Amino acid sequence: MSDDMTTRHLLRRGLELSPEFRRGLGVTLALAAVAATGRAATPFLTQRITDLGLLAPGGVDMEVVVLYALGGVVVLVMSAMVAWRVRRRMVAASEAGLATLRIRAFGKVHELSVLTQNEEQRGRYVSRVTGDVETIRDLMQWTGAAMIISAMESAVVFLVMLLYSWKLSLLVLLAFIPMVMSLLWIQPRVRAAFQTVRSRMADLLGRVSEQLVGISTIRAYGVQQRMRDQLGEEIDGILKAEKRASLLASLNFSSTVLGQSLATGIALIGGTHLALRGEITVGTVVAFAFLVYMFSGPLMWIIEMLAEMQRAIVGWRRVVSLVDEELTVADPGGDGTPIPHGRGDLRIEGVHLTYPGGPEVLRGIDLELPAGRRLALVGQTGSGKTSLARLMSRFFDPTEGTVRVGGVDLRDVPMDSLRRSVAVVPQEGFLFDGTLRSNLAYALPDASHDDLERRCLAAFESLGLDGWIQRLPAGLDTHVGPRGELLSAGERQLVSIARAYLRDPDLLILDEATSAVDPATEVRISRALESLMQGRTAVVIAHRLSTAERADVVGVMEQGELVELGHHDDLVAAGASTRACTPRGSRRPGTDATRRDRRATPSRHRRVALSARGRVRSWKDGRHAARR
Amino acid sequence: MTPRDQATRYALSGRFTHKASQLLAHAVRDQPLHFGVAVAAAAAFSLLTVAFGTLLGEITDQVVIPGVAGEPIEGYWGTLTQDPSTAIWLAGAVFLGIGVLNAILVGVRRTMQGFAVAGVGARHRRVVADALASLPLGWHRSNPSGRMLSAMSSDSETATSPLHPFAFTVGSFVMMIAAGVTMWRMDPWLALTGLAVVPVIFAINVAYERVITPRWDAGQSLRADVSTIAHESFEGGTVVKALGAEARETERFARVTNGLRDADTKVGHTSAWFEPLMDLIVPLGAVALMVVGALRASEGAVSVGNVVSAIYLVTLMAVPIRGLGWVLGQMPQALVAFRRVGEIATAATEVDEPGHVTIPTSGAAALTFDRASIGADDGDGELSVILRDITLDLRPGTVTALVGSTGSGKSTLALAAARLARPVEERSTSTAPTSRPSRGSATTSHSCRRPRLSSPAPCVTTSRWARTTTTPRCGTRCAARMSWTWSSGCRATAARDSMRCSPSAA
Repeated sequence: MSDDMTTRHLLRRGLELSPEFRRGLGVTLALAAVAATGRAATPFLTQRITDLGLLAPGGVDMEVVVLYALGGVVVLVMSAMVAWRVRRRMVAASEAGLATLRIRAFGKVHELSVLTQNEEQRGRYVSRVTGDVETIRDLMQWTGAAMIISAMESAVVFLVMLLYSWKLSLLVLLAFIPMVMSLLWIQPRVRAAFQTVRSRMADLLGRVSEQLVGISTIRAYGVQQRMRDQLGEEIDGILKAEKRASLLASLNFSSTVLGQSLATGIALIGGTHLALRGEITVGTVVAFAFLVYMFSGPLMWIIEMLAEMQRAIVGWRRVVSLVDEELTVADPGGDGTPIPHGRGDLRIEGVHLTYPGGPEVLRGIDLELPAGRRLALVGQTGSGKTSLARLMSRFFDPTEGTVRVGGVDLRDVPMDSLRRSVAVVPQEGFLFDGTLRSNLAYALPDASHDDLERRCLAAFESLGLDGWIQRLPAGLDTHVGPRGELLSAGERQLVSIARAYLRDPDLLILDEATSAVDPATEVRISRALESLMQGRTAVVIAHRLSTAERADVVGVMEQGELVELGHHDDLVAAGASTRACTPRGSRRPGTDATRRDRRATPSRHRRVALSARGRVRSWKDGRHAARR
Repeated sequence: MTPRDQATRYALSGRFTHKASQLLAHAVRDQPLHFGVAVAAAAAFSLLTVAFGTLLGEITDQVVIPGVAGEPIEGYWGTLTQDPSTAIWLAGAVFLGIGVLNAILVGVRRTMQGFAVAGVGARHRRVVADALASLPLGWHRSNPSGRMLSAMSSDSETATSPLHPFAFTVGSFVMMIAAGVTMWRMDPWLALTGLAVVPVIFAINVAYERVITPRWDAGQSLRADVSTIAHESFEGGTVVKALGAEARETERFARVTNGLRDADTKVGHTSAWFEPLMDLIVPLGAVALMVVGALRASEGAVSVGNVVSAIYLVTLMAVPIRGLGWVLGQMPQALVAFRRVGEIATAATEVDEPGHVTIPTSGAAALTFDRASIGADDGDGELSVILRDITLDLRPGTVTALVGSTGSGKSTLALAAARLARPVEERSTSTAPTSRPSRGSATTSHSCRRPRLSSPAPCVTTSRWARTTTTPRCGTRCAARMSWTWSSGCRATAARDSMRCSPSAA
């Protein structure tokens, strides 16, 4: 849905998405009309009491006064109670609708493909489900509600005025025209002025952040005074903008007061003239003075609210656009074909991938990996390794070609079957704020507390991590902190591995971490990975030479193409693109062999290659194509 | 104004009302002219409004009622003209005059008020800006940058929030008194009836604040939770997808969102009774006035016009009382924000005074630490000593590398040479090429080359090693000699010897 959808379209779609907004709306509006009518009771009472009570022929008629007063109290109290119900209903309906919208928008963000979830977007998505929803809340409960009630009040009051004297009512209406005109002129300018204040403020905060980052440099160079002057200028700028805004805003108010005074004056002059001609009573004239006040108050509100309302509409439009965004990766659901259990074989045919608005990142990949084999993808940054791996877990779909796991095109696989059969261990182990247990529970959502504990401990044991978990102060209940930052990067990786193990997938996609961890953790990670990959089909984006060496087959990626495919030693022996086989980030001195080193010791490599040949050949029997 | 004076102005003491008046006094002292004009305009507006109401009653009594009844026009208006039509035109002109005057006064009040509040906000920001430049580095290290940013933005704004309705509220007290006096002069009973709405509205406001504040706080904290979960969940979006945990995450989010919905509904329900109740009090007061007025009129004590005036005045009084409610409602948050700005100003006063010795700017310099102890601000205004009793001589033109494990004090030592960390004892000195002892302080060679930019601090050109850390243009002389200084045991007394002897060890 485009951003320029009309307000009417937005309202329709918005109400469709949160049906709660509309629930009982008719009754609420009817009640609001009742409340508004009740509020017009005061001027009516004033008129009746003045004409029939105070100015009754033969002196004040107390009976009439008390009667009307009692009636008035009843009407006022009842209309206040109705108003209370109206507000309660509006609050309940709008809060329910907002919660629904918030949850829908949140779920939608997770449904979107990873492609759309980049860093920059993420912040925007958060503000969709927080700030933007809040603006709609203001619209529903304050602005919008106030506008409806105010409009009704003004309408009811005007109706009463018309009933008293249509001539006088029209006169009053005329008196308000200049006020409304001037407000319509001033309002956008006031808004713009406040916008300037806000953007100036953003400038100042930008400066402050900049100075905070460079505070040591500022001190070392002794340029405090210059920095202070810089901030001083920004502050003066804000002051100036604020003064301008408040000048305009007060013009706004002045014209309102002027309009009100003008209308009251006109009502009195005109009213008295009409009274002198016997067309209306004294009570009516007096009542008009109050009616004008009651008529103009809500009107002013409405005009002031218009700006607020626009803000809310913009927010609402943003949220609705997000919810209506088209999904690029659709879940076939129940109509799909699940991946047969125990089959992790992977077949990629003629796969091309182009990011929206970007260059082609994969150009015709063909690859076949039988079940239980291990493929290491190597290549330089930007060669397409990660994109290819992400296609295998259907984080997004290829632009052309198919990816099959267990013989089924991933596009036909229901998401829950896919997630059960294919597990991903990402490069950076991301953990949710909570305990180790709650993080591991993501892998086994249906397990009971005891069952989870038992299986987690078993998993740690199989992965050779029981020693590590026992040394943690609270074991499985250890708190990991936001993003898991109370643990080290290596430990987070360990938890990700355990999580994948608990999933018990048939195909494992692993993005090897490039970051350095301490040697002990490094050993733990590689041992745990080894156990994890045992008996499963695995695709590893390798950054360490040792990983590539241990793989059954190494795929060399270059500029979106799979340029070589074969066992590591064969590739080395053939003198293939070893620059790609020597992955960046290999830090261990033992494995950090350069191309020249390897050429210097050909005998060792040839020996290894020979011993591995049988294994490679058996794999080669399968269909594969090393593209050039 | 010195930073110390600046900080004193932010001192708050005593109970809530005392603190609140200190906050207001700070503002008025800062912007006396703008606030003065605003309050005067507000007071004049109030008086005119009361006059408007009185006039309304007078015209009813003296012009409209007799005019309609065909009787002669009474009182003041009667002396002007006997033609009801002319009288009403005259009255209308007076009304309009008052209206125009009122509009101008409102404009003046709002403008001046806006200027005053903007001025006070700018004052808060300037205080923070000054502090930013002079706060000890330790403060910056131990306080998140968000602290400074929020002091500049939300704290400065919140601290001024009760000032917005300030002039209006002061003016409305004038209105309340004027209206009370006017009504009293018409009839004490009318005045008592009319003024009875004041305590009622006030009490409802206080009760509302009491009930709504904890509910509001609960909502705010849930709102923060909603935002945190959204942040976290979207940040770990790839993991959520990889684990197929989308539904689970949405469920987790839904739990908090529904909690927020319930909390917000509670807040909404509270204000659902407050608003109509407030709207009810004034009309009820008007009805009471009509009954009392009718009674008094039947006794001949008041005129119909008096009753009309009284009703009008009561209608007007409702708004100012709510203005007071706004001031009081904003005050607690404002005091917190005000204190936060003040804390920054106070922290900035705890900076050493610069010295007055100028260092010759030519040539390589020696750097000497003579039994220096170096402290760092731990952020709470407390000084903790990082390095004790350091004695170190670095000869001109030499390169010294500082090595040691994390936390041994290498950086602090280097910072102290540039006076970015603080010597805590009088004798802790680094000296100029002349080896003349000056009061402990030093800056890098850079500021020496631009002495006008730096404060008039005694500038000590440090030895070459300091220059190599700050500029890559070290040239051949840097490589000439490198000495190693072990800083692993600076805290220990024994280390003093190693510190002292190590430069020569190279």
